[in-house]
This record gives sequence, structure tokens and C-alpha cells, in this order.
Amino acid sequence: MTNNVYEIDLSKITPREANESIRENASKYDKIILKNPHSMHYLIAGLVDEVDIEVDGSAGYFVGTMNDKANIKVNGNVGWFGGDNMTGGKLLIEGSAGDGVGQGIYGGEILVRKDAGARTGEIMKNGNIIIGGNSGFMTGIFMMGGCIVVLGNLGKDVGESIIRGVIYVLGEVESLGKNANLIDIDDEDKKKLKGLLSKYDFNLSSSDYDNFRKIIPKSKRPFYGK
Amino acid sequence: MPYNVKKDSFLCNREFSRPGCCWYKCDIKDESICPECYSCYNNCPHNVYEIINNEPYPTHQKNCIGCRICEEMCPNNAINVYAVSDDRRNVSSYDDMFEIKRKSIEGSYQVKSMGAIRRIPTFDDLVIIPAQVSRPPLDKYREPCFTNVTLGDRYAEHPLKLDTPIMIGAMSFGALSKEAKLALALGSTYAGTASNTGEGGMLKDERKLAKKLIAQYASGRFGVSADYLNNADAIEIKIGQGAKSGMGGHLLGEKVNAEVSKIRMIPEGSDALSPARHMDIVGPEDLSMKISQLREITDWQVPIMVKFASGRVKDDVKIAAKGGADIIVVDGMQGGTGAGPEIVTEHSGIPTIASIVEADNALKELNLRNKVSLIAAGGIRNGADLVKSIALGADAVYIGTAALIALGCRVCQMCYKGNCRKGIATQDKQLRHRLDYHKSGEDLGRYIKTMTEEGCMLVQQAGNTHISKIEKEDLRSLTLEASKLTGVEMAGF
Repeated sequence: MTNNVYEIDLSKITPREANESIRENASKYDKIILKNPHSMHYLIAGLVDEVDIEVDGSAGYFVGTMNDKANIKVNGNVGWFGGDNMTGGKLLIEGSAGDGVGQGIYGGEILVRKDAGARTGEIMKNGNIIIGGNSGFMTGIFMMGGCIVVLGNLGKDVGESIIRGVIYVLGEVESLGKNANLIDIDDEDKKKLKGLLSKYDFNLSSSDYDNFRKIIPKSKRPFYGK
Repeated sequence: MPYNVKKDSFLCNREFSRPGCCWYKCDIKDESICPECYSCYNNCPHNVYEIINNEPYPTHQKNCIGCRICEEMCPNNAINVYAVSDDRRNVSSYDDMFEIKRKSIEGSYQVKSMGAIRRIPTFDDLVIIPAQVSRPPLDKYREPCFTNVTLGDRYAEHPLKLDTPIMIGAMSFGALSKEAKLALALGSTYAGTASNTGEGGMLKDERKLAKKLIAQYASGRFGVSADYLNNADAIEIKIGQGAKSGMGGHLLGEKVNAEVSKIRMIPEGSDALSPARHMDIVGPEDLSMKISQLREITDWQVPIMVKFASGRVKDDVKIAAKGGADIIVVDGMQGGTGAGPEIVTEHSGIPTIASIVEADNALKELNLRNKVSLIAAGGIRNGADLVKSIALGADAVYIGTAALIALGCRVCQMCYKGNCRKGIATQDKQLRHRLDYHKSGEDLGRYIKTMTEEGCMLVQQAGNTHISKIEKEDLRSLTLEASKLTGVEMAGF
């Protein structure tokens, strides 16, 4: 553990003050701990510095939005659109996430240890999203790249209007969206999954890896032109 | 048939030996091929011409939409395009029959670029009344007229401070060439105003050339990052645009070349989807949260704008204003686009003059008129349109199509084809070469400055010293329709 740590008590400050303090101290310290977050919205918004940040509790909407290099760990749950539009860095959520986690990400990695709400990874273009539990309806809607891994079950209309990228699922799939195709994985996929998941202590057996399936687009251009 | 294209064969074949006669129109500078220049045939976006006995003839005149590119680009001035008055058959006119038959054969709706062109009430239905004795006019030649505006000072630490209330509207790189984007940036700087990235991310050179640059944040979020937003002087959340309100978009992979790919942050050659609505803005609270999110990302430094297509203007404007927007943009149905279904462009939305009044009234009802800035867009062409917009309630205007015309666009309505003959709406290197962005940028700057001066003249003859001081009471309507739409008194009553 590093000694160069800065603590910010969020209990009596606004999101603006919190973000200003985070921005100001991100380049000075190796790690920032956010105490008493009380599910504050817009925490760690638009941070482009490389720093470790620990949220000691739960965060509200849009935590880590547009994060570029920071490694963010949330010890509790997060509200809607966690890690929205991330371009890099990491967001580790030890609890559950609301709707739209990983919306529109271009890069980086998001881990939700427990369940996620609906529309996980919508309009994402790249990067990885790993859900330890279930993910709700329309996971991967308008997906244009990247990878979603769901260790639990997927809700209705998975991969609605997906045109690129892949969604791996270990559990059940309630139904597929338009242009989504559910197929078996191959050895390359297994290798990729092991590389992604082995970092996060999920204790999957080799037969678990055999049981993954993947959802990919049927067509790269399903709605328009030829 | 709305246009008659006449080509004089004698003129067409004269003096082909002139060196460099069409240097800017011909991509292959080889005088030996001048006798076969076929400029009209090659440059017509609508396939009006056909080669017969080695000479081009305008045989498909029904395709002509009157852009007159062939006329402009003919090195021998052999072509004239005449507008023919509409036939009087009203329903079941020639155009109606042509379009019905086309649909029956092709089975597809018509796609076109730019905004609505059918007759609707416009700024031309309004006039500005001159000051005489009850209010004296100001002397344009000796007395000053001020045109500076400050937009978005509600919450932003650094509002937009402009020398003129004429701004460049959102047009993306991808839809437009790099040269066109740089010309818009340069022109805006010459005129002391702001340009807008559009949905396609921000070019480095565009940022360098534009003194003030607005970053658009649209539903596809292409090219969006913390750096993108923090490099801008304002952020515009695009909810809709006048030309295709309530519609998403699909950028074909063919248009995503290496440079477009880089700034949109998607793989080269890959399609890009823009949903019809922001996935995270489906109600009033969502918009408020989005504004707050963007404000946090940009540390409250720059104004947050919200742009709407003009529909339920009053409700939408109230939602944005209550949600914390610094600036609201209303884009009337004359607002343009790179590609949209003709049926939507021509039949959806309300005219710009009506949307300005509705937006202004909405802000007044909330007692936020002095806090929230209002920008009008859609079909604005000259100083009169500018002043009438301000009189109706706007603080500033966007120009889009007019700015492109200043660069050389002939409104051929085929931007979506990607083979713009003027090098504006294309990624083709050879065609892009036709646009000199330094010269076009200067042209645009001159146009905006002249338009501002026109506005000043009208404001001064109406007895005001600042362009923002013109009021609705300074207008009169020439038509009942415009009067009813705007609440402006009829002339003579």
C-alpha cells in the first residue's frame, strides 16, 4: 500500500467541490480515498490523470464518467451510468450497478462484482465490461465494439441493434434483440475470457469456460443500405 | 418541370485552346483533353446530362433541381438554367406525379440534403418599421452601432463573448470535408464569432483556427471524451435538429476514412449508429442530470447549451431552462442536414419565426429570460433575418446552409452522396482539393461581417444603437399567417 494517500470527506461538500478537489490532488498523490460518498452523483467526472481512487461507500449516477487513466474502486454500489463514456482506466464496483453501466465507453475496463441493471454497455465502442452477476434487458443495445462478459443471466432483447463487438454469457439468455445472434464460443474466445476474468478472483472452473456462449451481430449493416 | 436547362452547342465548342480556362473546375490539368471537358456532364449532381455523339446534352431535365453547378462550371458560358413557374394543377402536379411514379418503380423514400424548401411563412413575411419623429433614426454613417453579445452567463465561469450575434451552426467532420471545417473555423474567427464541431469530434486544426469553438454532444457520442469537452468554449447537447427532428442517423462505413475514424474514435471503414434519442435522456430529469454531468466534467467553466428541433417548443424550452441550461437553441424546420428523408424534412417541425416566439415566451413565463440565452436557427440568410430573429426574441442566430453557400455550395441537396463537386461535403481527396479553405474562410468572414453591417443598418434606421435592442414592436407582418404565428401586428392596422 502506498503512503502517498489523500483523503477527501464528501459529507459536507457539493459534487462540484468534490470534483475540484479530486482534480487538484490527482496529480499530487498516488491514491485518493473518498470518504462518506453517500451515493453522490457525478463523482470523479472527467478526470484525465493517472491515480488510484477508492470510494469508501456507494456512488450515485455517472461515477467515473469520461475517466481516462484512473483506477477507481467503489466499495459499495453505484447508480445509473457508472463509467459512462470512459476512454481508459478502470472502474471496479464491488457491489451492484444501476442501468447503463459502461454506456458509450471507448476504452478501459469496468467490473461489476454483483448484478447490473438494464442496457449495460449501450452504444459502447470499445473496452471491456464484466458483470459478475446478472445483467438486465437490452444489454449491449446499439453496441459498436468492445466486449461484455456476463457470468449470470441476461434479460430480454440482448444485443438489440448490435453492429459490432461481442457479449459473452455463462447463464441463460431470456431473448435476443434485433440483429443479435447467439452462438457457441471457440478456443480463441476461451483464451480471451480467461485473460479477462482471471484477474478478478471469480474462481471459474475449466468446464465453466466451456459453457460460455457469445452474442454477436448477424449483420454489420442490418438497417440501412447494402 | 421546374427548371429548363439550355446548352448552346456553338459556345460549348469554342476556344478549347484557352490555357487554364477552367483550372479550378478541372481536376486533370491537361489541355489536350480540353475539347472533351464534359464539365457539365461530370459535375451535375443530378444526372441531367447525357453524352450524345461525343457531346453532353441536358436530356434529363426533369432531374434538374436548379443548383446551376453546370452553369457555373462551364468554361465557355454555354449553359443557362431557367426557373419555370409551377404548373397550376395543384394536387397531381407534374412533381406529384413524377414522385408517385418514382416511388412505384424504386420502392424507396426520397433522401435529400439541406432543409425544407417548400413555401412556409418566413422572415420575408415580416418587415422592420423605420424610426421617424416618434423615435428618431440613427445615422449609419456617423453614429456607432454595437453588435457584441455575451451568451451563457447563467452558470458558466466563461460565457461566450462574441463580436457579432451570428454563429456557425453544427456541421460535422465526416459530413463535411476537413477543408470545409477549417474554412468554417477560419471564417468564424475573422468575424469574431463561434463555430461548432457538429457530431463528428474535433479536428486539431479546427480547434487551432477557431477562436471560439462549440463542441456538440449528440446521441452517438462520437469522438466524445473529457479532453474533447474541455477543449471547447461551450458544449451543445443536441436533442434534435430542424431538418430531421426525432430521427437518428447511420453513417456508412464507406465515409469513415482514416481521419474520420481517428476523431470519431471508431474503426476505419465501420458504420456508426446515432440513436434517435440520447439513451440516457428520455425525460426532464434526465436532461437536467445530463447538464449537471457535463458541467462537472468541464468544471463549470463553459456554457452548457441544449439544441432542439422545433416541435413542442414551449415545453422543451421550459424543461431545458429548468434543468439548468445556459443557452437554448431552437432549430426551425428550415434548418439543414447532410442527409434526411424528404418527407420528414418538408413535413415535420414548425417554421423558425414561430419557434423563436414560442421559446422566448416560454423563458418569460419562467422568469428566466434574462438568465438563459436563446439562439435561433433555420433558414437565416442576411442581416434582415438576423435582426428579425432578435426582434422576435433571440439573442443570437446560427447560420448553416448560408455559411456553406459562402464557401461555394450551390445547394444541390446531394451532400449525402459524398461526391460534392465543390469539395465541401466529401472526403474524396481530388474533390477536396477544389476547396481553398484560406480563401473560403475569408469569404465566410466577409459574409458574416457584411450581414452584421446589414443588421446594424436596419437597427439604426429603427432608432437603436445596439443590435440586441431591436424589439418585436419594431416589426410588422405582411401576411396574416406570419402575424398569427408570431404575434407581430399586421402592417397598416
